[in-house]
Amino acid sequence: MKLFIFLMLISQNEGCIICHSEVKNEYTKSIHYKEKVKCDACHGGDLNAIDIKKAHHDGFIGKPKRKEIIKICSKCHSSPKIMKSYGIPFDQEILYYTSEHGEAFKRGNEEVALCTDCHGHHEILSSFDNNSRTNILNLPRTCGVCHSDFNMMKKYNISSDVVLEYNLGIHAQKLREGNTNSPTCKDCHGTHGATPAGIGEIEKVCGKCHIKTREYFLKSKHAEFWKELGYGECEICHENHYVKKASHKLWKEKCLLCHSKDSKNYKIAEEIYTLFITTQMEILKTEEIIEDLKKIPVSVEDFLGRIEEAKTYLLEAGPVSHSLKLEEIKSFAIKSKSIAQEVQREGIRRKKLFESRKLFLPFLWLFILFTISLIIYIRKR
Amino acid sequence: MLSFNKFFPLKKYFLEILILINFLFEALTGFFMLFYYIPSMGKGYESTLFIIRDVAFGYYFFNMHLWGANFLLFFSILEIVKIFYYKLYENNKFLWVFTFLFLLFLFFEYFTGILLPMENNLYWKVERVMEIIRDIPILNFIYSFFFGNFLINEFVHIRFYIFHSLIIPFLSIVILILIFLKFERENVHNFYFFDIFIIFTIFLGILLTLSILFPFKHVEIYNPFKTPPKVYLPLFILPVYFLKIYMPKTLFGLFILLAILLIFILPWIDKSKPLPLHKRKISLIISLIVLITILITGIFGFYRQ
Repeated sequence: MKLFIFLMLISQNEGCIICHSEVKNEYTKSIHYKEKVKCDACHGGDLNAIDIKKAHHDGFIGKPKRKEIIKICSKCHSSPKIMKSYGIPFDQEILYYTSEHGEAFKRGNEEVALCTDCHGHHEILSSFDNNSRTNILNLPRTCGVCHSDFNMMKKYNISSDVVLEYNLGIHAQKLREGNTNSPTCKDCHGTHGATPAGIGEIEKVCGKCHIKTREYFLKSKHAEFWKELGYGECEICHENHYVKKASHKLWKEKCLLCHSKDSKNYKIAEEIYTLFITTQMEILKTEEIIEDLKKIPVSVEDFLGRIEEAKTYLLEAGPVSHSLKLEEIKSFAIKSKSIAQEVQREGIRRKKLFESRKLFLPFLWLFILFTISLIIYIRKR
Repeated sequence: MLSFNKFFPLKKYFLEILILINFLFEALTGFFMLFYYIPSMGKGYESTLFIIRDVAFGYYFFNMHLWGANFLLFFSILEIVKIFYYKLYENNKFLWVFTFLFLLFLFFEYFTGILLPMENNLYWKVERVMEIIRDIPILNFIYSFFFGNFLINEFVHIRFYIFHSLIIPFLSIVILILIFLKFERENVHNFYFFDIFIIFTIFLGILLTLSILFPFKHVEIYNPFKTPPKVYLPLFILPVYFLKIYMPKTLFGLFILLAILLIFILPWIDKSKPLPLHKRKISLIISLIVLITILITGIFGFYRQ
């Protein structure tokens, strides 16, 4: 038996797997295996021993208890010397203890998420790997293991619908479409230092990506006033997890939450809504004309560039509208509208020019008749 | 009052001259477009748009080529009806065979031509016609021999292009010469240049008018994953399409093959007297039944497409 183990050790250079073959599949796929991090790094013991007793002897941990996990991982992951060469941050442990998860763990709650709950045990993959639990595309599902568990979340008075809501929102939709810049859980809550964003912070969190929108929002009357009142910022109109695609309808629906229909402020909101809708209608009308011209077909390449310009101005008006300054919004909307109308006029002119070919027809037939008459006349003579 | 005959002595060969002029129109407009068309699936659509929009008179050449193709098919069908009606194949059996062959070439020319602009509606028309060819034995073998398979890809596209612009026109010219040689033996004389000029001018006028009033609409570039809500097939395909839908596959294939064969050998099996059709009673009854069947299946095919 010992000779057999010895031979296996020489051939495989992997002592534990001879007996613990059930983990071989998972372990050999992991990033640790690729980087030659052996079993003893986490489980202790002697890798090269050919005797089971000796193998389980030298500082052997076996299956770590939950409270030991962070300590075991941080042996390497908090060491700048080891992590530096991989380019991996070594402050995860410190960050973890600043998080809600870490705080609770410090209080003795072992149910909270630990390293292995998100990264896995033996099958830890690089987060750049599409199969990794911590890959951007899989992150909502990984967080959802606990945060969608109704019974677990009920204990902490947290909603268990957050992942479902996120999955219905525009951010998840964009992520599914392949836009890896679209935010997932970690982009708003952080990774190891995961904490929910509080009042006065939401606008900063959203503003990481929606930079211009935040700039204009901070200029608005809402920014200060809502903070004083203790209202959430962006989420009041756009929700937090179930973030819908921004639509002009929000001006009609959301403003009514605070302002009455007869109020002066609601009138401004209605005016902004009308401005957006009419501009969008003009753009749609122009696009229809362009499509019509394309079918004829009339050259429309220059129009395509112009209509994109009009759309960009309208798109820019979106963030600007967060300042609630009508004149500022108007300047963008009018630019967009005037370009659309200009393209419309030019398009109609080109269509008319094309249709003017019809005027040529009577002359053509007059010419044909004349020719035939001439031939008949010559014949007759 | 002057009679039409006096001013138009070529009345007897009016249709043949019309076909010749039409063929010439197609050849000229097609030749013109050859200079600008890029035979590739990706560039086909763009280069067609380029011809129509940016090339001088390209719009007229393209639309006249399209309308002319329909007219040429129509006139050729009329021609074969004329030969059958007057039983011109009595002493000249190969006149019939060559004319029918010419008609088949035109069908094929039409079929290969509608793929070239790479427009979505036209692309799906080709797909539908391909489905029909696939079910006809021998024809499907000939088709796959030349085109490889019943898919439309870059290789098939270039073969369509070569057949449309080189091989079939060449074969059609040969056949046309043979047909006209057959006519020559019947002492065609009095070649009136002015008469032909009149037909030419009127035909040009008609094609130009149609091109201006009813140009072809380029909806979008071909998309194999986007079938248009309705694919309008060429009218002459409709009866065959109707039969394809409602007949078992094998029976349909054999029926069409048999019909083609029967038309080919018609001069040898038609033993009636060399009189106009209205005086050949049995032929009249049979042809009326065939005509009505074609019309009815055509109408049903139109609503079923």
